Amino acid sequence: MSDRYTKDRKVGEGTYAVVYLGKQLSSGKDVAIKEIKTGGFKDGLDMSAIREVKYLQELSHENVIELIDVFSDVGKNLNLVLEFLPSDMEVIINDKSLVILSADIKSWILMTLRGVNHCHRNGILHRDLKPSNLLISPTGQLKLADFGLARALGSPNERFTSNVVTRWYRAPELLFGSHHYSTAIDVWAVGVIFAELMLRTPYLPGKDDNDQVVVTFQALGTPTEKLWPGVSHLPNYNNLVMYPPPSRQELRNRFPAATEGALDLLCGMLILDPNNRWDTAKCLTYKYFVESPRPTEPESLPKKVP
Amino acid sequence: MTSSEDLTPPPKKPRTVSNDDLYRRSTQYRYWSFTQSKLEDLRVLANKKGRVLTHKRLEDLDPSLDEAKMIKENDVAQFPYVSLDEELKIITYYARKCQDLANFFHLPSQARSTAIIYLYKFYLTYSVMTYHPQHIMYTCLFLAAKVENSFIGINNFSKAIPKTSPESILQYEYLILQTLRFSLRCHHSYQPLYGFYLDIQQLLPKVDRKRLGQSCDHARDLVGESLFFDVNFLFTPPQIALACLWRSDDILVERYLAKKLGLKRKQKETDGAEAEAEAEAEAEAGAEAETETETETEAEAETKTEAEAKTDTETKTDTKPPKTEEGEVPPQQRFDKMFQTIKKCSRLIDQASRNPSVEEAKDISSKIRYCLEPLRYGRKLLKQRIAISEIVEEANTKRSVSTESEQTSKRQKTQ
Repeated sequence: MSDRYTKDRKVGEGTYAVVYLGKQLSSGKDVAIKEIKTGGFKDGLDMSAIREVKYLQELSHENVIELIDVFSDVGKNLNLVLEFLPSDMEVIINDKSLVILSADIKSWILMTLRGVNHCHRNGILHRDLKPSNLLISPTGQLKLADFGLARALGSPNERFTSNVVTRWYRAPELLFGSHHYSTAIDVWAVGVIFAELMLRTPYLPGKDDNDQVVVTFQALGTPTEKLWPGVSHLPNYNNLVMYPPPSRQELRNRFPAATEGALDLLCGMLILDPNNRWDTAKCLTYKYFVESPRPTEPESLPKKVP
Repeated sequence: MTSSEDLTPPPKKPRTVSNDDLYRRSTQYRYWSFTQSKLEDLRVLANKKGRVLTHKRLEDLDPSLDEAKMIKENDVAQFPYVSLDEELKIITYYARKCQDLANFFHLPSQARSTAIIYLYKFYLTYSVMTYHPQHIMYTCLFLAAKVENSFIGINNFSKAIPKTSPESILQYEYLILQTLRFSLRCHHSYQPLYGFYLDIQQLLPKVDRKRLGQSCDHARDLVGESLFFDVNFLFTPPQIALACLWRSDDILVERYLAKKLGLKRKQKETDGAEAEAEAEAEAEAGAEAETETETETEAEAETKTEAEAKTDTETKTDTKPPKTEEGEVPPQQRFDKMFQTIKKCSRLIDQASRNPSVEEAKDISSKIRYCLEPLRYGRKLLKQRIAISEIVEEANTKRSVSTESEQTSKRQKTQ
């Protein structure tokens, strides 16, 4: 089986996987091979690996990382052959030598939303969107990666764990410990990433879970029953400082380079009540994406000089 | 995944992706949906491979062993291979066990259903003569719980099942993953059923909520039952959901679909000529339905007593072959086609149950054990022979005793 690929160089090692850089011999294409250890785990194959295989097998979109193949080697390890994506958004945001234009941001957010929309239409929640999981291909295409926390949209009475999404990108319903969240949590995360791209620094960097609540509501206002019916019944809705929602002017000051369209989209993605928060379809069809400037072509986006 | 090229739509068409397209891209559709004949082929092939493997096991037996000699002497053609029919029965038997076990662990229906589907999928590649379904069933359930976010630790899992160990369960996990072609996501029919439940309320706001609720509850049970038939390999989840709902409440589904597809209910009454033609078609259809299955006619009989005249005519038209093309009525055709599908699906769920009796299951189980370990079979033959020879001996001694006594009695008489 593994004679179709080479494993050239180890590029990373996690608890359940070793990642190699390699080549697909038939095409000469660079690939990343995630070798998942199968032995030595008390409960068999790791959950994250199972989720990753389960969901990537079903997704096929230019803005979602492609699972090219799955094979087993002699050592009975499970190998996921993924397309090779050399960079990610975290690297780009942190590289202060790069100049990022608003047309670039529009392009990245558009690609992110397209990928997320594809997941949601397939009934899949990503649950861990953050800049380091938005990988960039050599041609500048942005692709969602790391489906180790993903799950399927459930039936309405199923309980979900609220302990998902890296803290800074966690939606308010998760901060309140809701067990019935939905696709809106991914949209929130994209909104926070959008803000981070404009600011070039994390937008809601809570130091711990309690601080995250403070930071989030300081920036966007504390939700009330009036703004978000039912919020006061959520498990962790207590002992809150009531911050007022930001005025439009305050937002303009916070995001000086943003156009009115950009601010509208940002606000739509960061609506506190998940039932009113925009879904990906609404975001994608919003005028921001068709008004000037046009989104930068992926090939022309800023990238780290190797 | 490997065939990603043929998934990209032709370049000229605008790229709108319908929900049906999404389903066609799923691995459930691409890897695990078949025509009936293809499904049969797979099972025939799996069974054949199982026989070949068993045969090899027989040949590999140490010929010096008494058991091996016994099998050879006993004529190899007599060997208890598991037939295709028996395979399906025993898999279903363990699929039912799987359901019980899932309920024991309080697993949600999603995990339970996935486990059952995994088990059936596994035996499209392998025969029960290759891997014993009991072991595979345990591992399928353990894996499905993990896949569906209802993880149970292997120690607790194994502790609850007699005669298993964490190793005995985990050892098949990888094999099953591989056999499933790493396609783990299962689309079940519960969610579409819930979708229909909501949509019916929207489209038919006057429908009695209590009746709708009961019909859907019953349909949900039928969806659970449908797992033990082949419909999941042959139909899409919404088709199965509709078929189950139709079995549960045919009038409701007919009314719903007519509304959904924009069928003009009064049309037949206004157009005289067409009505006549339809009456004919109805008669045909009625006859057809009667000859096809009993339950279908039963369902129709029920319909007549309950429904108003209008719905009644609609009920009848559904089996009508789609031959009214000239009139260019796509809704009617779609309606008919949909009903053909629903009925076909429903008929499969209804077919004679594959559940073996306990006796049968025991019998097939022992056959499987003989196939997996032919020595056991030889041992059984040996025991039989010993038993037989004992009986013969016993009979012989009895006979000799009796002849002796006869002789003595004769002697006594002569004396």
